[in-house]
Amino acid sequence: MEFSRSEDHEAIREGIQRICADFPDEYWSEVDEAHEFPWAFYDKLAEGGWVGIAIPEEHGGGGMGITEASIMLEEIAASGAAMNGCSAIHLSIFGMEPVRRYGSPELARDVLPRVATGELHVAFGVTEPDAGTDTTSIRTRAERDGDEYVVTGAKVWTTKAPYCEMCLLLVRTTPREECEKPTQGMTLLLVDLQDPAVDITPIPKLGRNAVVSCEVRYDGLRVPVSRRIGEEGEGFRYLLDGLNPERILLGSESLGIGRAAMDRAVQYGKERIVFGRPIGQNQGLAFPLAEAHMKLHAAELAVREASWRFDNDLPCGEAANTAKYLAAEAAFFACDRAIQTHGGMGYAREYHVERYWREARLMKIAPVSQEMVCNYISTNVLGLPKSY
Amino acid sequence: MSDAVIDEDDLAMLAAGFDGALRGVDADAGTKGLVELGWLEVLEASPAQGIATAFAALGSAGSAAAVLDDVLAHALGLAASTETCVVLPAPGRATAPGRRDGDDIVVDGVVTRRADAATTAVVVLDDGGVVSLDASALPAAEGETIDPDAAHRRARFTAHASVVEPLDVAGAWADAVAAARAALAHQLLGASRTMLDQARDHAVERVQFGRPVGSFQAVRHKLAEALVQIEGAAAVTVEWQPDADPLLAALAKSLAGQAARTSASNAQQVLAGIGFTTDHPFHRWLKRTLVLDALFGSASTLPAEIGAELLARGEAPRLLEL
Repeated sequence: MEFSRSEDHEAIREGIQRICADFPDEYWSEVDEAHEFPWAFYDKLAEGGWVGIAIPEEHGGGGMGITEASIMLEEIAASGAAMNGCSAIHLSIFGMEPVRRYGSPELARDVLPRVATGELHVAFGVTEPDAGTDTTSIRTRAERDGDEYVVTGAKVWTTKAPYCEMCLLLVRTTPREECEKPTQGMTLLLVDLQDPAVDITPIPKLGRNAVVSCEVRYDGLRVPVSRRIGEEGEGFRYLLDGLNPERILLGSESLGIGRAAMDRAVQYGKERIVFGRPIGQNQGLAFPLAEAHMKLHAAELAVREASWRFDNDLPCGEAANTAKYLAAEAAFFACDRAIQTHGGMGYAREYHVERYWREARLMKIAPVSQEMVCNYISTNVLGLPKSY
Repeated sequence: MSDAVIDEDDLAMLAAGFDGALRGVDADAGTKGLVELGWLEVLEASPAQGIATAFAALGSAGSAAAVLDDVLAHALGLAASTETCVVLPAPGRATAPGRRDGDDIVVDGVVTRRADAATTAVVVLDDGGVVSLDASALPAAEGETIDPDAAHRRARFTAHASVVEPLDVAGAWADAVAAARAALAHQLLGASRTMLDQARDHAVERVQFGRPVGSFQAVRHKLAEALVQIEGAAAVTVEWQPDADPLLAALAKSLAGQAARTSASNAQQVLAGIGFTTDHPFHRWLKRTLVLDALFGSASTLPAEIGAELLARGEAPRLLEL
């Protein structure tokens, strides 16, 4: 076992920190309140080649692994950009993996280089109003018509949709009832979002408002067969490949938010004087911060193990789920204690910890809920009977 | 409808009397003492007050005097008597302990130390029937438990129909469960208060770094947290009456169990090293808490039962008019 920090990873951290230094908390607070996409930040990252960090070099990317991607996202979050910063680029980092792995060489050549430069924005459409946790119950249908599919249905929580040229869409090419197993009959298509047959409606939400999430209706959208990723009916299997990396990356983003919250809380604890002494001298405040620090540290170790396993082609389902669970809990706890440490000012926009808290809260729900992680661990790891 | 017939001053005297009868004596002497002070009469005349006073005293004094059987008997509409024991549900359950199997009665439950001296054992069946049998038919203890002083023992046995007498009772098992839960909730809270007192006394007396350890926030906040949970649970428990919605008793038992767990855990942490020894009496209340929490539904299992009841009703009922 090896715990030393690699020079390459330190270089990533420093590189990101330098860029993020030009985008302080106030920038993020403004774009969050204005519900404006952080274009200036995005463009700066794209310029530096960071958006394509984990896309293979043959497609113009950095060719790095999940570990490097997760360190980058952690640093972005830790700068105070939190989820607004990370979600602006998140899907470009690893979301295209199904295209790379299972898509035709032509399709990969067409899209991946443009994703790597940051020019092509792609969204991800899986969840539906009636199919969140229960993915196999999706009803968005794709009917074959000549050399096209005709897509009809609705997705919810499609991040960044209004700014995306394309969307990686999970559809049913065979209704669930006609499949032997519910995980069959689904297909991945790379569809055009800026098409008249697509209707995008933003969803008002608690936080991370610089990056919008939308309800997207597909009303007879025609999609060329050449835009199908891999084989018809295999879409769910392709998706599964991307689930573990997604958990690892979101775990890192949680870690970053936790660090941002801790930095502010500790600073405030040292500076704020009440009853003639810094409030950080009170055990009632210091001890929970100590606890938050230790929980984040334990979560970090879980995230590192998971990313190491993934990059070394080892099974990492348990590790990735554990990492996401622990990091989400630790981050939210740290943000909550940061607000509490700030007292009344914790409630004020000016101190930013409320923004971190609103954004950290999301990770207990997405990309998979804490409850579903417990289902995974209790069933697949502990071997207890499945509860649903 | 209130059945409060005992006024405040008399109730205080009763509480003091019960406390005196229970402290520093063994369980059987404690039972005798309560009965001599009129426990059975108070239970009959004003069950909510009687149960609250007696069981708070039991919890507080850490006594294993066996009077829970009387609570069950009374709720079933039977004449409470020290000659009678009532079989409790199996640990962790609240369902009636008996069932018919052809001509047999199969029993899986728990009996208190009342069973040692009783002549009659009462078993409620899962079909609503009630039978009595000779207490000598109850099996011996299966092994030692974590709290030998409580002297609860598992009662798993089969009795043929020829040795049991069917009983005609006016009360239902659900009423007995509610009354038992309320009683145990009072007892859990009494025990919680004692554990908190022990920890508080230690926090005031123990000096480290030149000051009582209770002056450190990490210590005093733990004690405060325990008290908040105790008072929260007490606010519900104290409202129980025999004709209350059974959900109230379930809530009281669940909250009291949770308060007891928090009190035990926090008191133990504050007592630190000394609380881990048998020199300090704390351990007796800690173990009693485990036994009491497990009876008739614990703080772990009751939330699921309460949740299912809320779903069945389709609403969260207002149980108390404040």
